[in-house]
Amino acid sequence: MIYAATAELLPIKGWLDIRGGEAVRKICDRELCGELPTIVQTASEIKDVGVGFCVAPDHWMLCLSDGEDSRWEEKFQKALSGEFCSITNVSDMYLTFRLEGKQARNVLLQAVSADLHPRVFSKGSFLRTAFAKTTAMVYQTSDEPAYDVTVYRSYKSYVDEWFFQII
Amino acid sequence: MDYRISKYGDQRNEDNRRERVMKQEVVYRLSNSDNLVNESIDRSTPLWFEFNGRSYRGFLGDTLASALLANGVHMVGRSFKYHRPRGIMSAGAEETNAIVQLIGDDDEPNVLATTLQLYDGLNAKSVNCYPSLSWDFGVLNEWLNRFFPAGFYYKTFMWPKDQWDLFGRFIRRVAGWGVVPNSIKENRYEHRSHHCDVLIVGAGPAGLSAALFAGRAGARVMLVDNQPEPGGDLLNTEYTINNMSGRSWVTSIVEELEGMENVKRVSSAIASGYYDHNFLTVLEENPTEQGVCERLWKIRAKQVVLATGALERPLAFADNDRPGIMLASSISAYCSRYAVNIGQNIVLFTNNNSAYSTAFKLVKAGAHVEAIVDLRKGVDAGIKRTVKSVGIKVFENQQIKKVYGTKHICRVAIGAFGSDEITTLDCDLLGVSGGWNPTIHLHSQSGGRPQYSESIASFVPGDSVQAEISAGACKGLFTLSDCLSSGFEAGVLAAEACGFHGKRESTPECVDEFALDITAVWQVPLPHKGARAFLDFNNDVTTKDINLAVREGYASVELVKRYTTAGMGIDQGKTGNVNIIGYLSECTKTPPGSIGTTTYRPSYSPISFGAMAGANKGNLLIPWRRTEVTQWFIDNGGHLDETGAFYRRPLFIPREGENARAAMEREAVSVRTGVGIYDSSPLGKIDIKGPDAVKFLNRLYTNAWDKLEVGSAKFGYMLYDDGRLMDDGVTCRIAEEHYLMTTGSGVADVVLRHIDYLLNCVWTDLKVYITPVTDNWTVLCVCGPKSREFLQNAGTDLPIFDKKYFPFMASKTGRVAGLDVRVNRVGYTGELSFEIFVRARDGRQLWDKLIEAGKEFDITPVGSDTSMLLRTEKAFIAAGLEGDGYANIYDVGLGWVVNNKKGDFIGKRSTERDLSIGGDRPQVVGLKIENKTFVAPKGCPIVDPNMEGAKKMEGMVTIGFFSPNLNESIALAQLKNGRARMGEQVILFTKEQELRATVCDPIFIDPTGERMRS
Repeated sequence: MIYAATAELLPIKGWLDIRGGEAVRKICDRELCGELPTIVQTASEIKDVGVGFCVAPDHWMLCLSDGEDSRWEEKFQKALSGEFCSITNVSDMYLTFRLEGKQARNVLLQAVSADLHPRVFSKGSFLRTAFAKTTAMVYQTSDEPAYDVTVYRSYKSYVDEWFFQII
Repeated sequence: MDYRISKYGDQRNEDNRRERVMKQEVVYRLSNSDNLVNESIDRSTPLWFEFNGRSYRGFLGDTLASALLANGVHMVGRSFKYHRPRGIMSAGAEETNAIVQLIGDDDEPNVLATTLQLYDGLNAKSVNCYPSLSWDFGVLNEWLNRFFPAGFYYKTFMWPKDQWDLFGRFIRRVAGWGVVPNSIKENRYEHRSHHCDVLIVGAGPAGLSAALFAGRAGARVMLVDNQPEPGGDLLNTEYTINNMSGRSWVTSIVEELEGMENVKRVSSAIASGYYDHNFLTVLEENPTEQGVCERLWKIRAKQVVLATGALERPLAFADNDRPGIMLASSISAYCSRYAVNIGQNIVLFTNNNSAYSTAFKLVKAGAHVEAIVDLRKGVDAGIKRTVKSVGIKVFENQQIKKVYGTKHICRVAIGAFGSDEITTLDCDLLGVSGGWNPTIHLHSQSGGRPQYSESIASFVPGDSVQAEISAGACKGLFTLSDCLSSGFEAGVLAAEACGFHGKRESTPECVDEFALDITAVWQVPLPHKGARAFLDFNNDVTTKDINLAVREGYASVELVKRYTTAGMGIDQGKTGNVNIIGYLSECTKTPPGSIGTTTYRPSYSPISFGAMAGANKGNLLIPWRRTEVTQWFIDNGGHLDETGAFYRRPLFIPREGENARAAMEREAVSVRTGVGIYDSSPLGKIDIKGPDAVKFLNRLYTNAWDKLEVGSAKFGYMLYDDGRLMDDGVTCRIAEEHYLMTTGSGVADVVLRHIDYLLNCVWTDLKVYITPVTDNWTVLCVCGPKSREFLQNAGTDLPIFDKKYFPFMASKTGRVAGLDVRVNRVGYTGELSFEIFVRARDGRQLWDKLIEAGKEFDITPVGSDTSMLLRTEKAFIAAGLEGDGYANIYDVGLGWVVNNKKGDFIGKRSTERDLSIGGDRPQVVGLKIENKTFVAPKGCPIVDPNMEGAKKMEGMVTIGFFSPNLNESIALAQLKNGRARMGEQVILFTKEQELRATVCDPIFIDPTGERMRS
């Protein structure tokens, strides 16, 4: 082991892909009793629900605990009836690795070209970016540091191998 | 004295030999005295290494070059073209002679001995010599040198023409600087990204000053230096800064920098490339992490400070390349940093004052300097007095006329210009200084255009093109005070540009050395016609070669470079370029500034392929994707191969004892007669939602989508703007404003990008959102006439026997094998098929249940190649095969998919244009090969059998198989005007044979589609 870090596959999570304009976001906020982030590449924790990620001006990802996805999907569909929007349950699209440890940042910097310095990327920060030879959503969950690296399901074995070889 | 240590000798013999080596070394290693305040070696840690089969000892902190010199080894290689003996010339990355090959476990070519840090067990050998360094057959080239001038390879080996292959083989055998390793190294290479406010390249006085200010101001600073320890020239010389020694000043600065959390310092790291947007690559050797041998940093900086220093250049005089002739400053570096007393009797040859400073340092360190031979008249009296006071003779207005000694110099003859009178000086080391070249490579790579400076007779950075500031010697400022002040200034400017304002402080006080006061001399007059002065040691380019190039019309510096190879190769002309330009200016009578430099390109120094690849090798070379079923195929002997989009899918799944063909035939027959199962998960899947989804599909596909009902699916073809085939697929309507599109596996990303672009940039009027969902679903395709019975047995609540409710192209949700699924009655085999979509997490579970339930039906897992065979039998068109970038949708027989009444769609205009032009377009047809044992290869040309003489290509095979269901060798092909040629005989033209085939309808099986609609 070269780096003081570990990478572990987390249990499957619920993911909703939300597309829509400002009105859609506001309705979602009302349903969530929280706020989806409005700045691209940022995240916000929504109490008792999960984490919302803003990936584009009209595009959010909502991460929920597994089993909650269908309930929230239905809830949004109902609340957004008549609105021009798209709510897609993509829970099976993604798998998340938890990367943590003293040198987790140094491990991540071998796959990601973004600036991960604590001055610009700290707890709660999020970005969707190229990760080694695939793409990932990177969310910093603590200042330890620890990161949730969410990748497409079909790349699981590649990313698993990547972490194994690098760490 | 024999230093060789036998591998088989006993320990005592080895000890005795090592003892002898140590005694020899004492002669060349200065004692550990107070004079050597900059000594960088750790004498308490001896390291043993081998060079050319002999064992030597060095110390921790030595480079291979310093350790060799400490053992009295100067001659380390042979030159590239003439195989002249060559010795170590410099003490850094500019080295042009000491290029060695590492052997053994660390096998690597093109390693510079002057930068390679010594380690225990290092094993290296010389290159370009056979059978040995001392006795080299290649020296024949030197004797025949008059036949090998610049550009000889453009003029020779031209006749006889058919022998070029022979010459080529020979030339390739003798050329080259080393041998590529045969084995794969287990070494670990890494890439790492880094962002900073200020990147400072070079940790000499200017770089350290810049880092100090920018760091104190609070900017995120990265300081990289190619030396193992910071200090630059301060380590080679005894300077005084703020009343402390240069080394102490460096230590104090480094300590302060180490204490700043916003400063990162990387040593032994060469900045190799400067690209657009202030992106630089830096190669770090032996990072601190255990097991990592090289790390390639990819750095994005808001501001870059280049403090890369300057490199001393040689003088061009007769036989200036002999071992024992070195750059003057490197003698001083070896002396003060590595405590190596290289020569017992040193002579310096110069055209500037820096050699006087060097002489003074050498004497102070305990070396003996016999004389300074100066090309100039009127050397400053004060300087002369200073060096004469320490016993050094000064010969003004004199030149080296002759160098004695081939494998090592032993004396030199000097004399005045134009005079025949000579004086002979005994010397075992000649230090030369022809001036200093600012290291402007990175500035040039950044887009800057270097300017010629008369005062230093070299090039300095021009205007900055990117956010970059040059400071110190690389800006042409050679005094210490100038370096320090320009460094501070650069640090201030860079930090302030990033929004960090620190307290400006005064520049430290220091004592400067002699001013440069250079008189440019590009070639010292040669004593006789046969004498040669080398400008580019790396490529054996002499002043005569430059002359020849100019005479032959190659007067531009770029043409001279290419004609003579001057400035190319491993050293990239670090020491030679300016001399080449200077001499070219003499030949062409053009000022050097008007000639300019060639373009400097990355990388500054050689980079190993390992470093470029980083972790991207072995299992990480290609990011192989897996479906939920991939492991089942691996466990059951599936023959996996790349099938596009980074998926490795089974081509077929052979049973024990089966070969590929037998497996495919079994699978194909099973699908036509029983039931097969196929993993279609890699199909691209895109979720489409919005009130304008129908409009969107109408514009995207060639056919009309208005009448597609919820719960049904439809086949569609999309075209490029130019009317060529892009992709086909089935799209099902899930709800009123909700569709699920499938695309080809290999082009899933292409299609997604295409429609994402259309919606975001072209059809912004459409209210449609798309979401890629490829990985969200596992898709298993059950196909074959017994599919219904099988699914019934597996358990489903779908009325699959109700042909009215569940007809061909139906798309329904329900349960299969206890799991929630969507089932589309579509397939790619032409048989009754059910495509089952299940949540990816349930994919493997469904597969296992279906395999289990299918045992009584002898269900057959089917691979991709078998699927291709089945689609060939049905003439299902593949956009990437039958659509070759020329064929349009009518050519491939899919005119029925086009609805010209529905309005515009992508590719409509181009397709109509094709129709209006008409002519004999290639059309997709079927072929039945006369020889059933022959399978027509893809791309096989088709020719007219009636044509005499030269064959004219009439078309080509797009895919061919032996069909076990037809007991025929069949193929799909594009044939000119093919549909009008049914029944015609054509010839398939292969390398081995010509085969007869009959043109037929491309749909070999079930032309009416009864089976798939059943």
